[in-house]
This record gives sequence, C-alpha cells and structure tokens, in this order.
Amino acid sequence: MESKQKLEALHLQIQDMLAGYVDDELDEREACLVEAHLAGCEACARDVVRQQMLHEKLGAIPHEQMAPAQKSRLDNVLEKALQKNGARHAALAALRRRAGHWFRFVEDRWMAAGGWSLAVFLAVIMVFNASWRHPDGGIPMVEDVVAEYQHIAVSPLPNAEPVATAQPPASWPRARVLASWRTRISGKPAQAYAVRNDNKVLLQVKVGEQVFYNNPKVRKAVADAGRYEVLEQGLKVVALPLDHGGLLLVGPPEGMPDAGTMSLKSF
Amino acid sequence: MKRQEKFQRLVRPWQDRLYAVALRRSGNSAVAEDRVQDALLRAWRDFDALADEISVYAWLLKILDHVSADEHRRDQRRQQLAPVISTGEPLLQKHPCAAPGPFEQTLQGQQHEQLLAAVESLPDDFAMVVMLRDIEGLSYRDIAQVLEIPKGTVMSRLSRGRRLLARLLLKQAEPNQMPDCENGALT
Repeated sequence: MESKQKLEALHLQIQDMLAGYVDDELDEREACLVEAHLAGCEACARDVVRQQMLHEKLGAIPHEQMAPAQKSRLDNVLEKALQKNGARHAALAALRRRAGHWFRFVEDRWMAAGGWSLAVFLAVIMVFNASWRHPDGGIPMVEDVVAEYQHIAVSPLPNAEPVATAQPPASWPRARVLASWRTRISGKPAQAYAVRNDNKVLLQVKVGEQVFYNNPKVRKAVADAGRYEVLEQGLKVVALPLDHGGLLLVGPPEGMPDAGTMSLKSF
Repeated sequence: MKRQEKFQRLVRPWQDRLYAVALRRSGNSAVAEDRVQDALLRAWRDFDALADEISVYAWLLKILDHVSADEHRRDQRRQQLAPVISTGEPLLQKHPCAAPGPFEQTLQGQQHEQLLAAVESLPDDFAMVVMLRDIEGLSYRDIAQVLEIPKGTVMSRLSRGRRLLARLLLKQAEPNQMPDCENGALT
C-alpha cells in the first residue's frame, strides 16, 4: 500500500518534469528517472508526445510586425529620448572623468604606495580569474554541438535520413557526407550532418535564427567579422550565418576545411 | 562605441518581436505600440544595467513584462484560478483525439490565430511560460530571469500549461470532431 502511494507521488512529481524532458532541460539523472517512468506509464508517454507536437506547432507561428506608421512614430519618440538622454549621459561621463582626475591626484600624493600594491593585487586576481573562466561564457548552442560531436565520436553514426539526398549547408571539394539526422540544439530542432574531410570527421549542424543569434557575443562577431569562432574542449566551433538561421561547424582545429574552398548553400 | 550606437545595434532589432509579444498579450495594436514604446524607453534609461548573464531579448521581455504588469487588466488576470490537471485526466485518457496520431491531426487543423487565442486563454502564469518557451524560443534560464521565478517553476508551469492547452484544444475540437477520431480509426 505504501509503495503504491510512493509510486503515485512519483507519478505526480514526474508530470511536472515532462516539459523539461521534452526540451532537454533535465540533467542526466532526472532524464533517466523520467525515461524509466515513461516506459511503464502510457498516460505520461502520450503527454510527452503531445507536448512535443505543441512545441513544434507553436514554434512555427510567425511573428507580427509593426506597421510602417507605427515604426515611424516609435523612431521619432526614441530618437528624441536618445538625443536628450545621450547629452545628459555625456555630461555625467565628463563629470566622472573629472572626479577620476581628482581622485588620482589625491591618490598620487597620499596613497601612492598602498594604491599601487592594491592595483597589482587586483590585476593578478583579474588575470587568474580570466584564465579560469569559460572561454565563451558558456554559450548553450556551442556546448550542445560540442557534446553532439563527442557523442558521435564514440558511438555509431545515426543514419536517420538517406545520405545520398543529404545536403549539408557547407561543402568543399573533399567533403563526403557520412550521416544525417535530426537533433536538438538549445532545446530547438536542428539538422546534423557528419561529414568526412580527408581523415577527419566534422559535424555540421544547421540551427534556426532564434538559436543562432541568441548570444550577444555571436551576434557581435557575426556583425563584425561574418563569423564566430571558439575553441571548446580541444574542438573548434565555427558559427556561420545562413539565410534562415546559421551553421555550426565542429571538429578538430587541424581538420577544418580551408575557408577559401568552402561554399555555403542558402536555404 | 557610443551608448546610443550600442543601443541601436543591440536593442532596436528586437522591436518587432517585442511588438508581436505585446500584441499577443493585449490583442490591440495601439496598446501594443504603447507598451513597446514604454519598454524601449525604459530599456534606454536602464541600458547600463544590461548584464552579460541575460540575452538582450530576454532582458527586453522582462522590461515589457514589467510594463504590462503595471496595468490593471494583468492584475485581474493573475487572480484567475490556475487549475492543475494530471496526465491521467479523463478527457486526455478517453478522448480518441488525445492519442498521438489523432492529436497531431487535431493540431494541424488549428489556424495560428486559434492557437494563439487558446494560449492567451490560459491562466496568465501558464500562458506566459508557454509563450516565452514555445513561441519565443527562450531557454528555461532566460524565462526564469524574465519572470523572476526559479527554473524548476518554469518547468512545472510549462508542463501544466501545455497539458491545459492540449485539453483546451481537444475540448474545442469536440463539437465538430473529426471523423477519424469519432470512429477511433486512428487510435
């Protein structure tokens, strides 16, 4: 009787985790717990499928845009606010600079020795802190594609779709498609391709705009240089914009194709 | 880079998306325009407070949520009873269209406007997480920051919200059930 009550309590608890399971937001232990429950609970298994369908369907709803007249009104209001507040901001910045000069003058005279010691100490802390930090600040899509690469590196390649018809976004003369499958990156559907480049295997993952442009570092790098690159756990990740979304190319740095020979398909 | 330029580059590209959210929430284009304007003015005022830990869009949505929260209508909606339904709920168990295949067909038959209206008719707490996750594509972490709730609460509200939404869509489909659901051919 007691074990039945425990099972019922677990059933109720797991129902609140089903969205996390659908969206890949559970840790490994929680995901195992949910999967074990789903194996024996048809009601929850059906709920998972319904949640997946709702997520897909709602994600396909287009976003309304402002009418030109509304945009124009908004532009006018913001333009005024930016100019007005910008001038005030510049004045405050000048004041801060002057205060800084005064502070440095006092510091030079009265606290030179102590101040420099403190500055050196803080600099050492900052240097060490910077080297300990994650190089890209933990961009979820980067972490996800690196995990996907590490998974295919030690597991049989998934072959959910015919290789002959697979068309990865990036191609170069020696590229050979090995496998293609659907996956999820940052909780959203994505298309993955394992591609051979000589004796190296690279992963291409095509993601949607919401995922690709979610991180400010990626947006800035793409705006400035047309691409974002990072080394993550010994793998190079290159993020390239596509017409509708972006491409994440993952692999060993020495296995990356020459940028001059690579062409991108538009989708 | 100057503050204005940075604001224009980081914030302004999101104004249409903010408008779409505001329009869905208010159902009125003039109200939505006002809310977006208020939100962007607040964003400019507080622009120096934008932290690296939150994406620009999530930060803007948080501001827009605060703008909306200032309005009386939202306070009224917050008081709505938030029902909790189980995966074992009779409608979800007995209704033939609740099975995966038929449910997909029920869903495919829905226009975008009908789906949005269904999401909007959910109690506010559930409608917000469903909208931020499924329509706006935010991560649980960003949703938690926008709504200032723990990540676990985002997950439980989303689980319950989607279940309520599924039940609502099934109920709506009942008066004119699809033939395949009536005779159970697809169950």
